[in-house]
Amino acid sequence: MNLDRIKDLVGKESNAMPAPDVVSTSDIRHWRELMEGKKESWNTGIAPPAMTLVWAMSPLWPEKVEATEPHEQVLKLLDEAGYGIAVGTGLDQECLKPIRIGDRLGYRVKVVSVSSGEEETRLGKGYKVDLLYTFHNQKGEVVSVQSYTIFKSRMLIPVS
Amino acid sequence: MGKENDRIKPFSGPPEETLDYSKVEPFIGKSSPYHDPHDIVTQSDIRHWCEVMQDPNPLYRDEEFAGKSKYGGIIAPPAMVQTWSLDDMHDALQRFVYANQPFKEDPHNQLFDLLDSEGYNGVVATAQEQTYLKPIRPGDVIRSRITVAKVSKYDHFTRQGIGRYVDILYTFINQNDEEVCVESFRVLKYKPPMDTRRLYEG
Repeated sequence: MNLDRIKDLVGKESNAMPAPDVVSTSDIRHWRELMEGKKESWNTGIAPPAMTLVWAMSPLWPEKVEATEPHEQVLKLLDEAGYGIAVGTGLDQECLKPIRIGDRLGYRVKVVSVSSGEEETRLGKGYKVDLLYTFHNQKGEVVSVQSYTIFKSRMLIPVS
Repeated sequence: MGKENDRIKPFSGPPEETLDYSKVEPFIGKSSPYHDPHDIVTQSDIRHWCEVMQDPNPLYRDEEFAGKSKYGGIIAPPAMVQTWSLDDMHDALQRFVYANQPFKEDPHNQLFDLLDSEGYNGVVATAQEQTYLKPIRPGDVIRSRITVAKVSKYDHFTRQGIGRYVDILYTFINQNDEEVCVESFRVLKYKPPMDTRRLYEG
């Protein structure tokens, strides 16, 4: 594996990427139905802060094939080296401003660090990738900062 | 000779009771009230649908393209019309897991309850036809009602068992009370055959 190429990408931040859609009542309802059960009214004017990462989720189809941003390249390099399994192992969210219905969010992803060598865990050998997401709204205000850790491993996760 | 004949027994079960059509008649032509949707039509729900159906039509996503088209703006996929009146998660679980229908007092639900109690407790959808009258756009509020259109007067003998066809009619209207779509939906309510029924009843 080309570790040097990964090291070059550490500390780099992606371009600002727009969220696929504006913050909508229907997406908030789908999320709250799953997390909170039946409610008289779903419309509270602001989106649940814990839902922030949802707005950055990429479309199911058509699949994005090219890895253009630094974090995508890091994950792709690890994939190519055989570390094909991804497990989210940590997420810290800091919510700075409320996200309102109708907001158009955008986000940047920075590669904070990658393990310097293979780490051995119960899920097999692999690399930890620390990412930092910064969310901003249409006015350019930072609404949330989130650090996200992904463990890229070689081994299939045992089922039992 | 006599002994041989004793072995060949005629069908010995009691004759099947059949449904009296006069019980069904009061429901024909009756409509439910218009039910409100849980949400307005949103661009994100349109996107989710297009992604799953792998429909690349720019009319549903590209503002610039749709603006130049005869619709003058983004429209929702017409075939998606029923999506806007779907149950929320809670009602869907009640309906499909706990067999607890929402809107019990609606005529079509009462008709289905009657058919269930008469032994026609199997159901299979057999036909669906939609006519699109007006485009649906993001921001619209789509309300819907169900009308009982027709029920078979006599039993049909099908591969599923003895049954009656029930035609119901959906009407979808937008916030300006304009009809956007009418849909006819035909289901077969049938008596599951004896061997299947034994499976259910143990």
